[in-house]
Amino acid sequence: MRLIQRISGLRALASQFEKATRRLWSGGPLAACLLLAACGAGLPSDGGSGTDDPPTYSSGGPPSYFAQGPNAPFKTAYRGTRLVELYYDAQAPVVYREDVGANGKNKFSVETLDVLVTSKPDTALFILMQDMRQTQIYRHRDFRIRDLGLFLSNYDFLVIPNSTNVAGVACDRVQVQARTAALSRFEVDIDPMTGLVMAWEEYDLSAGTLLARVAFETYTPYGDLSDMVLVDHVFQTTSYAVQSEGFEQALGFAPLIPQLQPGAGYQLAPMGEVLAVNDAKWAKLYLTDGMASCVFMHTRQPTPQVGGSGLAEKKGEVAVMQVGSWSSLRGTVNGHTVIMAGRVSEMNLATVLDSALR
Amino acid sequence: MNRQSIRDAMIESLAGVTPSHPARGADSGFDSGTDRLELLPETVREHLVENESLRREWRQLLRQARAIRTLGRVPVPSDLDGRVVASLQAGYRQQRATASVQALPPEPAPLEFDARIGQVAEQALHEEGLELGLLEAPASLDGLVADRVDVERGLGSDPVRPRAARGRRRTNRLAALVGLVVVTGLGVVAVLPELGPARNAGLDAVEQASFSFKVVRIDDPALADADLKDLLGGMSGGILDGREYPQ
Repeated sequence: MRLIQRISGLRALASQFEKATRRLWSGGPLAACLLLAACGAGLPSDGGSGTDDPPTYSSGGPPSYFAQGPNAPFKTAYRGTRLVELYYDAQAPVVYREDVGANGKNKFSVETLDVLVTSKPDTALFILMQDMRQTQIYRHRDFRIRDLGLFLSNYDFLVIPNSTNVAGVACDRVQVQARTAALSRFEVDIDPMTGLVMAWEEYDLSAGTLLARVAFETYTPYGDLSDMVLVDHVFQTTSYAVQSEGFEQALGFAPLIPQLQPGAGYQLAPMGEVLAVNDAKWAKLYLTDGMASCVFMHTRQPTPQVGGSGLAEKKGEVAVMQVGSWSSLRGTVNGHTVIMAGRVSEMNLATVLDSALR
Repeated sequence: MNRQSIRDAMIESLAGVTPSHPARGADSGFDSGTDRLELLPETVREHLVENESLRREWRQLLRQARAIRTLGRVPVPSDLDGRVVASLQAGYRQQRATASVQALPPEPAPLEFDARIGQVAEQALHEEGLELGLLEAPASLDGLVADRVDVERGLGSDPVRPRAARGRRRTNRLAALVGLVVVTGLGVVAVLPELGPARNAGLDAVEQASFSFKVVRIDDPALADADLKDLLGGMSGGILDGREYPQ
């Protein structure tokens, strides 16, 4: 009871601090990290929801479940449906519902059920394509703390404990914004018991408009997955330390290592992957600022253009495409076939590639 | 009846020839010594009775005819009919196709077409230039062209405006390069120009930046490579697929 009162009090405080925090965020790029519990109202570490493993809130750092963020989608067993609203392309919003589940042992499934809003008539094709790229959707689309250290270095956040309920799960509301050159801000609802993001919204900082919203509509812990086809990787994938000799040996060629990053605060993830795609070995590197991620894939063997619908590819030439805040790049340079994508600009992708070639 | 007409009549009479004479059986051989004169018309037969060379010629024709008759039958290729018809009709089909195309109403070319032609032409020139080394324009050409353009736009010979135009171009290029790398106390960290709302304007920087490769922008996802679309579509959750882009 005492805890409930304290949380209610915290909610009132939260609204006051929200305004103050936003002023602070907008006031300078080096605004301090704010944690509500750090403002003289820290929750006791033994309080919480009465489970065996409750979250802890310290006065000087993030909630304990932040550390679960990178692995929560893969280590939490659940089944649910999510409503996905994407407004990055203002003239062509996409809204769909998806069936999602994970076995808590790295395997998952995310299947688009129906398309509610689109300007493209062929929804059957869209659903088919979504099915084929579900591993990328599950790993990259949604807000997630991907590297806690980098996240804490690059993002300001404000935690409002137990303030929302998403699909029956009491969540903490976390407000997040990049410290440097932020273009958007996030409102994230996290299950403090699992660290799983139950809902997130992204707003354009300058216009204040909603850019994206993804939220669970139904959620069942340890739900029945018997009718799902669970996946983890599309291709045979092996992880290596990027700087290790084993990585180069597994690839059969010296990997390209970016020397510049696609944005402030980004770092090359220490672990890379070797993908076996037909007869070719692909190096897959990740660059992240702790939340956003950028994928850098390349191989020494040129990819054959089998009935390709794209433009004829010339050596020493890369094609770039940008939609909203997302960009991708593909080309053949210095004998490497390269594919990149991320929530960065075309310029940033080209710069990363250029730095890897020099 | 001349010799040629007699010869023609003999050839026509060979239609009744069989591999071997039925009355002699299969073992009799091709040249059984029988003249088979009964196959010939009466008028021809009279000439052969009187002329030994004609009889030899007739016997030779008989041997050849019998030899040919012994050859096995070769099945007709199943597509022969189609080939024959196609060869006979090909010319007419081309004419019909040409007429159909000529009858089509004119269709305006998409705007991107110009850009693509420009890119292809530029690439071809670039490659030729690499090989020949003859296509490098003198550095002064930019200035001359800018001056000429300004004159034609009615700006006269105002010396300020052309210099401003050239200076801005160089400034953009310099800004793009300088903006790439900022050295901080922690090491080299890339801080790229924030394109922000002026993203379209910033795209000039992509083209102007001194990368070790050429960058080609694609606005229509239909023209993009499948890998490009798949990765971007997958990571973003399908934002590429909301709009019916021009093909």
